[in-house]
Amino acid sequence: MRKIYKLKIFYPLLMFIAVIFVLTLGFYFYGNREGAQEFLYPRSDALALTIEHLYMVTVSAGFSVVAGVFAGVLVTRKFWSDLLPAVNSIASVGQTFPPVAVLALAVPVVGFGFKPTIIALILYGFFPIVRNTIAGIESVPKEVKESAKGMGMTGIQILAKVELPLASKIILAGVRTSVIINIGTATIGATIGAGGLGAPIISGLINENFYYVLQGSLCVGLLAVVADKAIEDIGRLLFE
Amino acid sequence: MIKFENVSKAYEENNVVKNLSFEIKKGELCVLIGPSGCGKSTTLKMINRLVEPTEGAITIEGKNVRDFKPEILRRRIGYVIQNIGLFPHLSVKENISVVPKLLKWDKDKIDKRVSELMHLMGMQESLFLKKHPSELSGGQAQRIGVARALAADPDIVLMDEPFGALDPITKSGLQNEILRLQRKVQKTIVFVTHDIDEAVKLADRIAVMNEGKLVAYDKPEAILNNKENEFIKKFVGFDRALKKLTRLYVEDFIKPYKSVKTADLSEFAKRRIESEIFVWVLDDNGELKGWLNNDDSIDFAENIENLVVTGIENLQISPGCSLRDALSVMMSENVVTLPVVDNRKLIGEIRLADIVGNEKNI
Repeated sequence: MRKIYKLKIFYPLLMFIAVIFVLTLGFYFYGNREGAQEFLYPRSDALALTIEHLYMVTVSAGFSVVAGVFAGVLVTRKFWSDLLPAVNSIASVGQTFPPVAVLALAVPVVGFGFKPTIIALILYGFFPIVRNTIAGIESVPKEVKESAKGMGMTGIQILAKVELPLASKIILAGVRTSVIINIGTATIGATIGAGGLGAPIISGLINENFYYVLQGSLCVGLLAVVADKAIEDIGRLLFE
Repeated sequence: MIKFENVSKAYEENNVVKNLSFEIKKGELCVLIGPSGCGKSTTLKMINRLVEPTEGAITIEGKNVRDFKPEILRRRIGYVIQNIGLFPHLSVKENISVVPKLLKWDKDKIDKRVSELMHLMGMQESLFLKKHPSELSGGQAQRIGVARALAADPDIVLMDEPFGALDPITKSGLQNEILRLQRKVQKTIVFVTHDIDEAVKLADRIAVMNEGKLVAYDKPEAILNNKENEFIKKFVGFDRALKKLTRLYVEDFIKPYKSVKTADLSEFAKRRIESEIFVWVLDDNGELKGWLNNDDSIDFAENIENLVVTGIENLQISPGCSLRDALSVMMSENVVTLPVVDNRKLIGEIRLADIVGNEKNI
């Protein structure tokens, strides 16, 4: 077992915990002074906001990973290969679609709060995963697949024992991109009442409170770094 | 054992294999040869159903391959391809045990089989089993490829240009390995190549293909002797006679020799053997030291030991070498007779006249 401080996540996580700790302490010591007003949201501490934020990102990332890998696997099967170019283009175009627009479209259907935000995040995080799943599976050398088939593996066995293991590094890179994008994107959920670390940013912008914006952004930025390093560590533990 | 009956394969309008009928006998190494696009690989892949014929039937020991589930059929047939196709994410051991695992062998049986195969391939277990394919040289990887194909002890092994991407030295080493293995395991091997030298060296029987048709199916000697068919003549090339020599071995052409021991040299000087133009000189252990010209004009009177021609290591040839190798040594060393040496002992000599004059024996 490697030493825990050798993990890349160690220092960013330490920093993140320190910041959240200071902000939460500050909130309870000074936050309820007279004159502290509520703008848009009920005020809450940084720890609660982080938990909300993480909740949105993990739920949406979970769905994106399952759906993205499934879709990527499906279109690389011979039977569905007609769909491959279409899915590839949609995945590219989908990246350019502004998440605010997804929110605007989702709100009339599912209402305000967590739900539309999570839908937007799922959609947004889905595309890098599909693309990388396709790229990963297509990167498996032809002769490796042929020898797997020639040795008597069934289609499912080739997928599970050869294609997915060989594509897993590239798929994980897609997951990494997807999660990091979504940690940032989740902040705009605050505009439709989803809370999370976007809340202080949005209220800070509205009442021109620079410190609110700074606190929110700092937490989101650090959280993104922590997630990035966490996934990198997972990859290294899996593949080395 | 493997029988093709009127087998054809067409991709849309394009006929790749046309009306193929021939039979590969049990225990034979059959080489399918022809120029690129002649359908030889397609023919091979129809045996394990990686390609399905459009017409005709392929039977293995009387049973049509279509009556098997493709996966079940393939697990019973070894398969080696060019560029090896080892699984890069699995260790050497895991690669070799793929098919036994598919066949649900128990762990002990797999372990035993893996060490058996490593031994058979002449590879040290402790050194290689845990390595990944990226850590192997091309030759080592292809050995593992062959071991993997043999893992479940199949009766039939298909090899699709297995040595195509290797350098000549490694290639020739592996060819010898295949010949040695084949003597031991006696599998029915179908081997695809476009290299006529490889075909001549390995085959019990050669199937020459061109434009999807079988041009000839015969023993290598007969293919090399075929002077009627224009295509075969061209494919074999002008050096057909030299190619024949690759299938003949020095050991079958050894002639008795005259020799003299270093200690007996002075004795020899007194009583020359008139009939010989030279004699081999051996040291006290019977190892070859050189030769002594036995020309009348040479005066043996003074210091006969200085007259011995030494430093002839380049000339020595082992009984397992082909006549082609022997001929090559003769030409490069500019001699007409070579000493045949086995385990450092002189066992005979081989003469140019026997190599050139043997044409009728083939």
